Amino acid sequence: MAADLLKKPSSTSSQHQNKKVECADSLFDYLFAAMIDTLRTGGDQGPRKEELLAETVRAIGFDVGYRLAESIAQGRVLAAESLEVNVMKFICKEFWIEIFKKQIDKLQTNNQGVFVLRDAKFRWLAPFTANDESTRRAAATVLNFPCGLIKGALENLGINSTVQAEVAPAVPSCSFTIKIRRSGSGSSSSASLSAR
Amino acid sequence: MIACIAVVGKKNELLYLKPFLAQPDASSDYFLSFHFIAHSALDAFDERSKSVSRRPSPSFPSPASTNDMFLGYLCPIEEFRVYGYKTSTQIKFLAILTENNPVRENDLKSVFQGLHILYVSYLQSPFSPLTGKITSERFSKGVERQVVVYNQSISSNSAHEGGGGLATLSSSRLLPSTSSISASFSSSLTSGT
Repeated sequence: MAADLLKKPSSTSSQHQNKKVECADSLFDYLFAAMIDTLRTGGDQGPRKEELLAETVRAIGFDVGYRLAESIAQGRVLAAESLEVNVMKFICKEFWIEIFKKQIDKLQTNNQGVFVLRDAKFRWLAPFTANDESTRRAAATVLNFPCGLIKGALENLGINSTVQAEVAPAVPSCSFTIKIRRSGSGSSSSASLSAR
Repeated sequence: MIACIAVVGKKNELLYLKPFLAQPDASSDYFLSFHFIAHSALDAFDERSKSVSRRPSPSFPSPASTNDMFLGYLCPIEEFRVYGYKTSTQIKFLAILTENNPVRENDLKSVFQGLHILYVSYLQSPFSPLTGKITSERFSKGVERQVVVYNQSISSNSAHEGGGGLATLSSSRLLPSTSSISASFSSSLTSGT
């Protein structure tokens, strides 16, 4: 997982995908924790502190997701018809496997541009064992990063969306709600859904 | 011969353009004419990728299969032939070729794949912007290497085959050295625009 986020750009002469730089998962975990902590303690401490922190973490996730999707989608052609479903499957399978070495556990859709991705054992929530209010708030902060990841990857694959995460009652489980924002003359039913 | 490589982004904005023909003179027509060709080819691009994504029609046989990023021959513009490649993230690569040599699609395909790899590794760098012009030195060098390899293989091969009837431009002028100036080519370029 961390290997891919921190992957060195491979040399141009060799096949990019065959050359993955391995590095420890724990390294990423520490880096991620340090990043959140630095952002939380540094920076703006005003009344909008929580909001700004969430925005920053999302922005970082977006950037990483966008770049990562470019690399993972390199050898993959996504069929243009029913692009949204194909892209969602791509996110649930290839993209998720690349990061977490497992698929998303459940993908649901209302066929109107809303997709719900459920991960029963989300790796980045594994450190959160208690089930009280403050833990859940901290978990929600952490989940801004994967939200950004998904949004960035979707953006790169041509889908404009909003992504929200919810922490499930049993903590290492969580779900992501993706609402697709269709522009212009798309189906009008989804236009009202996508307001944020 | 590859005369020019262009990379076009998601919103049809030009990310990168590099001509490989010797610059005929100091006028700015040179870049401009390739800009013009790249932009004209985008329409053909849209049409072509639509027809490829549908089932291939018998009236428009395409060498590219449905699951291929390589779109093949797009259109002729002025005295050039334009080939295209489109990634699943809607990044478009264009190769503008001169007509004087036979085109080897397989080699061209591997050039495009090389360009795709270059683009991916360019985007992996956290310092490169997600959108906007590509200014990376490494990307530029990589593109140059791909093109030189292709052009050399083409020119050596056509020498064996005795060249085609259309081989009016000598290969020495088409190498990416900008020093040699061809009067005949310059007139053809300016008359084209």
